[in-house]
Amino acid sequence: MTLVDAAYLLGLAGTAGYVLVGRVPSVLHVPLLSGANFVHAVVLVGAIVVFAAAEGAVARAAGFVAIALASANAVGGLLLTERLFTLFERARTGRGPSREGPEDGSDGGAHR
Amino acid sequence: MSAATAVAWLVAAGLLVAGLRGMGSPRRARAGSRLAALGLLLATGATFGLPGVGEDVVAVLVAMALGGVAGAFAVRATETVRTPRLIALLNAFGGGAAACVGVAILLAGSRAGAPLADGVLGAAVAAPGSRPHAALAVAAILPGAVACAGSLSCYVRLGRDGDAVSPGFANRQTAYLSIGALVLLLGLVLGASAAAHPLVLVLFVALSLAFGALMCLPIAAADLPVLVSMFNAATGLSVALDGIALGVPIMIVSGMLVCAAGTLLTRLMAHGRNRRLGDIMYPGLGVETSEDGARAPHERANRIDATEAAISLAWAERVLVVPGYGLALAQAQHKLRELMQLLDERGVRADIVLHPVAGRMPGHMNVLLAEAGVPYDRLMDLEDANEAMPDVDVALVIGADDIVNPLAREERENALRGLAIVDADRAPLAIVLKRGEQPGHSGLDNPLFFAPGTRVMLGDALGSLQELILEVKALD
Repeated sequence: MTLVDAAYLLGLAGTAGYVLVGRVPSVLHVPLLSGANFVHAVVLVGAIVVFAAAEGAVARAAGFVAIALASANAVGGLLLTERLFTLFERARTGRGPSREGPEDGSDGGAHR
Repeated sequence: MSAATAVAWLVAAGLLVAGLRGMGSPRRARAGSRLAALGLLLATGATFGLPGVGEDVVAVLVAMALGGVAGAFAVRATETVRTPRLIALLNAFGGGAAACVGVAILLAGSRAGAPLADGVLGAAVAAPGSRPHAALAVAAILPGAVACAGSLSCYVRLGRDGDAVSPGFANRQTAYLSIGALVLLLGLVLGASAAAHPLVLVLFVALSLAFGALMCLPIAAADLPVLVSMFNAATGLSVALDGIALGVPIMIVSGMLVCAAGTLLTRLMAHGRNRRLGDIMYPGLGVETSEDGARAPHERANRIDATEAAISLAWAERVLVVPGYGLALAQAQHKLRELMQLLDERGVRADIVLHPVAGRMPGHMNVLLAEAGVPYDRLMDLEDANEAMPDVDVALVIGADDIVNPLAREERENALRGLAIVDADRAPLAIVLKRGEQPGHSGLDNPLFFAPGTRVMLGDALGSLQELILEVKALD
């Protein structure tokens, strides 16, 4: 990959990110923040790569710490996002009928 | 990089993008979160297939398990009300990871003959050890470290109740700016030298951390979630830069995606609080908040644009429409019916409140609405509407002024006192479509328009409703 390739990726992904969040109801701001927070846990890939390729104690340690931190980001981010959306669905299905498909029975007691 | 890994990364990047897209819509949010999780799982799994990783499988898994347990514990231990605090902590993890990756890249690059040069990183943008490579690593460390320390600082402050007043210290501005300048200088030194001097590196990281932590200190506690969102974007940037240095496209795509989405989200969140981002960040530079700044929100009506108003309406459960003279004047009753039909199709229940004197002639509004074909069962009278008002999601006031003026309820003598009004100010959100800033027939200012729960969209009723219809149609 050349720097130009990287610049293309940066530009396109940046545009995509901007477009994706353009129309978001404000009730979803915090769940979406949590989701975006989860997505950058992909740094785990880089952490594994540098750890495996590192030579020398310091670089090795930095890689190890990076893997642990990125995993904490990933696991925590996923659990939190799931929790937020569960709450969100409960809030919506709790009042009035939802028009979209069957309700998720796993969160029992949400409907009345 | 093996072909299988490349393909898996490509698919995973697509899943992450689709996942984030899903999370922006209430209906697809859950599916989006699952897609993103699948994407990350696939990306991580594919990474194990890279040459050189196999020998380290055990150590990698141990590190992942340690981190995973810590992350799960952090979520379990935090109540839902503290969600912004938890996001801050998770982002500190992410930012720290991105900074550590940057450090590892820099260190590895400075060692001649390290195995980074081929195999795993064969596809890197710049040769390890070269200046562009070092510069990229340095550029990645800075936002990562700032995001890490800043988020941690937010995490600590959000954990203290009643910490509304920001802790400050004397000469904050000077300290802040000099640290910033020093960080940049050290960054330049590091980026320009192929071999990282350990002391310079340590100083650089330490000062970047200090810079991030200081950034958070002067900011009002209520605004901290906005700052967390900004640090989230910074982590994304750091990940993207790491990705360029390593030649890992999925990191570039996902990191930049988060960076852009996070930046926009930061602005939206600031806007949602009726604050400009600059007003929130200014104290960070030590500028005293002016008296005007504190007073402004009460003197000025909060504006809303068509897109946001349409979103608020479309995701509501229940909407009460309060039409007034402005609607009659603009002959916008047909547009109103069209908007109500659109909302109907989305499962939003919209009713019209008929004020006895709406339209300035008793019965005027009934005739107009009947002519437009608004179903009779969608009309509510004043008493029912006021009873329902606190339970609806949005009150949509169209060209009405005096009939929604809360002054009428006041004991104090005024021209409207005693007039029965629609209590639109008691709805959680009142969206007011009005033509201009002038007061209504009574000549009184209307406190409803300046209330914190009110958003005003300027324009004549016909045009504004047309815009709303287009925007609601554009939503998916």
